[in-house]
Amino acid sequence: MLQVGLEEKVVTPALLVGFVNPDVLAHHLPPELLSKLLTAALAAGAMTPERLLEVLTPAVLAENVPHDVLWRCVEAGAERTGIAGEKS
Amino acid sequence: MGLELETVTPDDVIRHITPEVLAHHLPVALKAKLLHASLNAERMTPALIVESVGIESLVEHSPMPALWAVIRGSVERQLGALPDRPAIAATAHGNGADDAIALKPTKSARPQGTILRQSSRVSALSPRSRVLGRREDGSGTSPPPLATVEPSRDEHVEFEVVEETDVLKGSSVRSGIIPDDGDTRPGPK
Repeated sequence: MLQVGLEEKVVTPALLVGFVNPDVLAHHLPPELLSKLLTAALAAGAMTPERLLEVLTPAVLAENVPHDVLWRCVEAGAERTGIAGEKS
Repeated sequence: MGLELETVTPDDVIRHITPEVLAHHLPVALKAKLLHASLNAERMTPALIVESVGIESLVEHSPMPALWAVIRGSVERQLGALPDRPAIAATAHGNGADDAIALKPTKSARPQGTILRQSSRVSALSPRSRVLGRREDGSGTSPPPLATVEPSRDEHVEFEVVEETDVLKGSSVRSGIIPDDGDTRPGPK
């Protein structure tokens, strides 16, 4: 679902990082993935939400980040684009 | 201190305290702080990592060998190459005791005569060997039996008497014992 949301521009990398924020990543990423993320950022010279998603693909995020966090992100994207409609 | 004096650079630090080391050893709060700083900064550099984590925290949480490698690496960078000690340490597992072991000759290289002399000396001094020597040969190198001691004891007594008179003649003790004796004798005083 996150993958589709990103492909359809319902969820943007910046929106994603707003929910899957540094605190969430620090708590839930295994050291190997965090190391990979930092190495990639150092090699590229910057850590951007787009680069973060290159390392932490939706599949990787789904495997490591709590699903309720990911769901809130998808839900926020749906609201932002008007897919969700008005809240009842 | 090295960072403050700029003898150690952030590049030196991150060369050894790698992202892998950081990811494994930093506490969650510091990981979060580092990620925050990385996402907010325009550029991701070793200096940013050192600044955001902090030197004290790096020292507190990084493994000691990695910290030492940072210092060693920075010295090596400045000196070009380090002196001989690393090579010795590499062959002798890196501590002083091993250096001493490395300098010590191998067992096969030690002189064999030392060991032989030591073993013969031990057997000569052993009480059991002495006892065996008396039984086999009474007049040999072992002490004589009690029955043959008396003649030699007489000789010993005579020798002692001679020795005593010699001592009294030459010394001033006699003049001390018998007053005015020295004054009446002729000759030099």
